[in-house]
Amino acid sequence: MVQESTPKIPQYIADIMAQHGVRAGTAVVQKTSDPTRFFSGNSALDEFLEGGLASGAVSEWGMPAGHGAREIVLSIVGRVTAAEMLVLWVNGQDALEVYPPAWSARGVDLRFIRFATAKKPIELLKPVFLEPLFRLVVLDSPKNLSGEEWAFMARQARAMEVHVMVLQNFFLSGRRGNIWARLRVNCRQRSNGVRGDGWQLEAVRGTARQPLDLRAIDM
Amino acid sequence: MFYLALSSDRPDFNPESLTPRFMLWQPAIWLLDLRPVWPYWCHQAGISGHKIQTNDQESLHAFLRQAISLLAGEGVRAVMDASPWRALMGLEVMRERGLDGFVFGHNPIGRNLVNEASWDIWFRLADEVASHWFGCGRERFNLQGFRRQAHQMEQGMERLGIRNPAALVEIPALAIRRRYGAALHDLWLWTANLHGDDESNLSIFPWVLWRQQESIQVKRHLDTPLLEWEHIETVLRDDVDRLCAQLDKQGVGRVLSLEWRVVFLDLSCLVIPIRFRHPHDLPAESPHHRTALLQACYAFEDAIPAAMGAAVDLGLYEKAIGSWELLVTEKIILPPILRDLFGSIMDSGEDRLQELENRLPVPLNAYEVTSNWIPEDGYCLRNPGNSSDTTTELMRTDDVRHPSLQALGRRRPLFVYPKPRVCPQPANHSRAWTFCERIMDKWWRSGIASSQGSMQRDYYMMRDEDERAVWVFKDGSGKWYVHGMYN
Repeated sequence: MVQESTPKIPQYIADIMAQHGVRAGTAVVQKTSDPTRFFSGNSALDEFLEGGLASGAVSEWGMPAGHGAREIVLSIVGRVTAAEMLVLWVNGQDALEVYPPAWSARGVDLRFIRFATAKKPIELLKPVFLEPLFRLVVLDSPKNLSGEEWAFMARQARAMEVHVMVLQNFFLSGRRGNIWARLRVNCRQRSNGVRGDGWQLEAVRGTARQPLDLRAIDM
Repeated sequence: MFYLALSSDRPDFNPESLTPRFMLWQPAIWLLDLRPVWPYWCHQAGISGHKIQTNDQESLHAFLRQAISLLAGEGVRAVMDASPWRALMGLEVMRERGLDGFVFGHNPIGRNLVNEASWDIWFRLADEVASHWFGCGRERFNLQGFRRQAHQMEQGMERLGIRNPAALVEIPALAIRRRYGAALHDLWLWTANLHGDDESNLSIFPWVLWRQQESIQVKRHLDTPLLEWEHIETVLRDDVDRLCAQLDKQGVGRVLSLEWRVVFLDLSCLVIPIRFRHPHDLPAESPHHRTALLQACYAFEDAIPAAMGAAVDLGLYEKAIGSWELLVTEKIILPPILRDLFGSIMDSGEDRLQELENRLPVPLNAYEVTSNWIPEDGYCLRNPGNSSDTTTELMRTDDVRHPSLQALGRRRPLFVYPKPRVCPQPANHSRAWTFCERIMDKWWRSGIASSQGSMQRDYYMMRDEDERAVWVFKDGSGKWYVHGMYN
């Protein structure tokens, strides 16, 4: 994995820039030279994910609506589209639609992402999982995925060497396990102000790391 | 630029090589609607669905010019425009001046052609449209009455000394309606392009689709009535195969839609349309026909519960299928000469994406950002080649001309409600609030109640009762709406 550092910017300037919507290069920029990993571009997050998300696997993320935690996922999606790989985002949220200008402004290349709306994604989008066309598939708030569907996803992700991220609208619990997801992470908002000042990532499964605090302005 | 008016002397010219939707406007004059196959042609022209280049439009024009001259001969006369009416006007001017070639309506040459159309051409075309309206039975339309009103209008223009229709485009369409009736008003709307080229404006255009005499179809009388998809699928696969044999005989390249006419044991019929999002190469998937059978399955599962609900009570199996007919309703024929033109420009990744989309019951949407500050107008569905659209200015992802819109986008949420939802005025003003932006709606757009003072929107980010960060706005009249959520 090749790493290249951006010039160091003083923190107070980075904060001011972030307030005006300019992303400061506070994080270490990583080149996606490893085709089996999907990076976020944030060194702390990539370290937490033990070198980025692995292709050929399924991960489950607990991020209830209204906490802004999908910004974390977008940092990964943005990097994948920047590498000209196709991403599929399946939106299962009630009544909400994606707002593409916000995605584009957050660094997602809209030419390389497709959106579908499906509450039962496996039932409706089964052919997607039978081809390695999309390198990253994000299932946002799917409704009641059955054990068979999880097994199917995990098997196909492995066979097609794609990564499937399942974003749940609730926090994950260690008591109710999921053997199919290699990585399970809860994203809790650290509340301070309207949007909160960041999130705390807490691994339920798949990484032995301590909880990670991410600042909103770094994402 | 979806409509093509074309005149060709070549007797073997078949418009079905370009699109399944076309009509014979006048002898040797064809009017083609390229919308169903537009992404396909863009793709063949080398404009990939996810890599729009700045010179795409030129590539597409060059490709279409070449394809049309191959199909219709060198002496072809063709005009492409966003409106069928203006395409026909341009073609008529070309014919009058003895010009040959292929002209695009949005180019200066194309615009000049339409602007220089005389009243003679306008009234001649108006009469042709009227004949088609009469033929397809437009409601409350009287051909004789129309001709009388058109004659009055012609006399009026002569008296006023107005040289051509372009000199009169400033006149409100309503004035034409008051003086000369609804039909001439509609024609005037197309001429002056007052409402843009939206679909509602063109919905009254008299399309009389051309149907080939010899249809491609297969019939099946079942030995045993069938109820379940698992059993139907095997038999249907054979029939799709039989259909392919006929398609091969006629040299059909791609299929856009099939019709599956099912007859139940109670002799009731059900027509199940099977549609493909992109022109589908049916014979190429022989013998498994995965794509066609998947689409048939989706259509069957959608249609059958409704048919069951309306079943006449004849017993347990009244809605078992006794026979069916499968026919091709929309197709394009690709002659070998055109296939040579395609060459090796096809991008396999894009092909695979189109094939995949054909197998899904839901669309895979791609979006483009437009340079528009109103949240609802800030994006549009992506359609390869639509960068020629003059009404929507698209913003490229790497565009640096609109840093303010990029900054706005960063402050807006990732998810919005399709229509803002009215919400009560937030009771507790001590909750965490952040002012985001103030925007003004487009006062010149019709249907916006400017008189009620709702033109202005003040957007805030706030927390609702469930501690979720929502994007709300207050309009000028003080009403509150929830527009999105910071998920």
